[in-house]
Amino acid sequence: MKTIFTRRLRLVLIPALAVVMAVVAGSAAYAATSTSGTAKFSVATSVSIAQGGGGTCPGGACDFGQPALSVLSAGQTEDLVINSNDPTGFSLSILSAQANWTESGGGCTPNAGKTVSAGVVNINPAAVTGGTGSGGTANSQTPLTTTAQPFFSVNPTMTGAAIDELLTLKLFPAAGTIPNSPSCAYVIGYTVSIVGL
Amino acid sequence: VSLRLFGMGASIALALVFAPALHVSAIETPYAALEVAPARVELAVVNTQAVRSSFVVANLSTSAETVQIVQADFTIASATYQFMQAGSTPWSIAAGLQLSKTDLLLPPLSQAAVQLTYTPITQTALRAGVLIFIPTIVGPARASSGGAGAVIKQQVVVPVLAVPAGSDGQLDTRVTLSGIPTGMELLDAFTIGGISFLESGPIRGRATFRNTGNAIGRFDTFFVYSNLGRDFLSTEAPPGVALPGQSSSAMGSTKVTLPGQGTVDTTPMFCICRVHASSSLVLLGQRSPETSQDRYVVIAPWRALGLLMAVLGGVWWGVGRRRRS
Repeated sequence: MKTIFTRRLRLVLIPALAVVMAVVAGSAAYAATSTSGTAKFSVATSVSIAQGGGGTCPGGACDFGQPALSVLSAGQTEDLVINSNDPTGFSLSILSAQANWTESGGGCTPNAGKTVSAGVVNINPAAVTGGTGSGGTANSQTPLTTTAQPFFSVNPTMTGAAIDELLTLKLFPAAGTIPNSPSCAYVIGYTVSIVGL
Repeated sequence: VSLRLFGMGASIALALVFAPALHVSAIETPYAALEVAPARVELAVVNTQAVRSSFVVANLSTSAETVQIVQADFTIASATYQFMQAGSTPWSIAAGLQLSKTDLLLPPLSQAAVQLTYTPITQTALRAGVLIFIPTIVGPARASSGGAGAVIKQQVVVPVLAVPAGSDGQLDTRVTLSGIPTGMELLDAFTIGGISFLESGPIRGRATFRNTGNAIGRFDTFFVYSNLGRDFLSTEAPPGVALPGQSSSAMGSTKVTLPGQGTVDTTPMFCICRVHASSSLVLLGQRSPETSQDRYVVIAPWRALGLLMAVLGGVWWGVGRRRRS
């Protein structure tokens, strides 16, 4: 009687034990071949500025060719792409490093007397688009100076990965602008700064 | 099994449908493209201990670029940062600021870290400057053709402020953070006998506050619009930076952009409106006591009312004349 009971008990216990051992062994094997971890990072406020592919000034070079004097030229558009994650906002400003620019260019022998004022470039900023939040209120057309001029009377608070700023430039060369030497051109440099507020 | 296969297929189909919509298009340009984080730095200076911080400078361009980091001083004029040579202002931070690198060469779509150490110089309530990050694409420069042209360069500017603080990170007692209101102007409104009137339409207000403390700060300004005591709109203006003694203006408008609804004007057609502008200076995460100013304006469709009055007057005159005759 006892033998029969023992046999039946073995019939139940041995498979159960086998299952338990399989689970334990499986867990041990899993534990041995896997690792766990965390990926930690924090995000700071950031701003970026890039010359986009749009507009008519690829790479930041706006070529007006040979504009008529005493007439406001047609606009050339500089496309700036901004990335901001800061809902506090950002400001954009523009300035020319110098008040007057001497003619220059590849193969040009510049004549120091042939200069043009940075103010012949008129700037027309626009409210930014393409993100979430306010695009700001753009200032009206103004000549380029050596003092940084803000793009906006109300700064934008827009956030996004591809915020678009279209800056239109127009030339107004004075009637007395001196003709260039051969292979030379008046090239006016200016800088756009982005500052997180 | 077929149900599971169906579920898996449906999930894949849904993922394929939504994947393009969730994709965020990053800037991809062969021209200069630069990102800097953090966008501004406020260093809490405890006694004479050096303070360290770091920047991440990223080249977002598909071309290699060099990045030059230049220290400069600044002041605020024409409501924007004006940069000056480092060391030229009494509050210059330049003498105490050191960078681990000032010239970086970054391969396309790469990043680098720059360490910043500030060793306190005679620490006053205000030590400030900016770091200018100037990117230049590595490659041949463009040759200009004959005529006239303009060449744009862009740069990222990061303000760096050092502020005396206690060991708890709170502002030191040497720092006074305070501001006062100096006036509010309602654009487009006309004033008769000291009362402002406005044709039905958006209210646009410009509130000015002056920094009366001894530290640079950012004015964080809120506008609250109410009609007969009932608030109908509250907006926060972008912050304005002000040096001690300087004023900063904030613009507010009842024309707001609502999610999914475009730009709407929330001003009632008839309104005895109060425009309340409150502001406080913010520095090192702390705020000055709030200061505020109010303006009242009576809004109605004055032109339509004038026309209506003229018509009614004409009718009254006509009726009176008929009675007399």
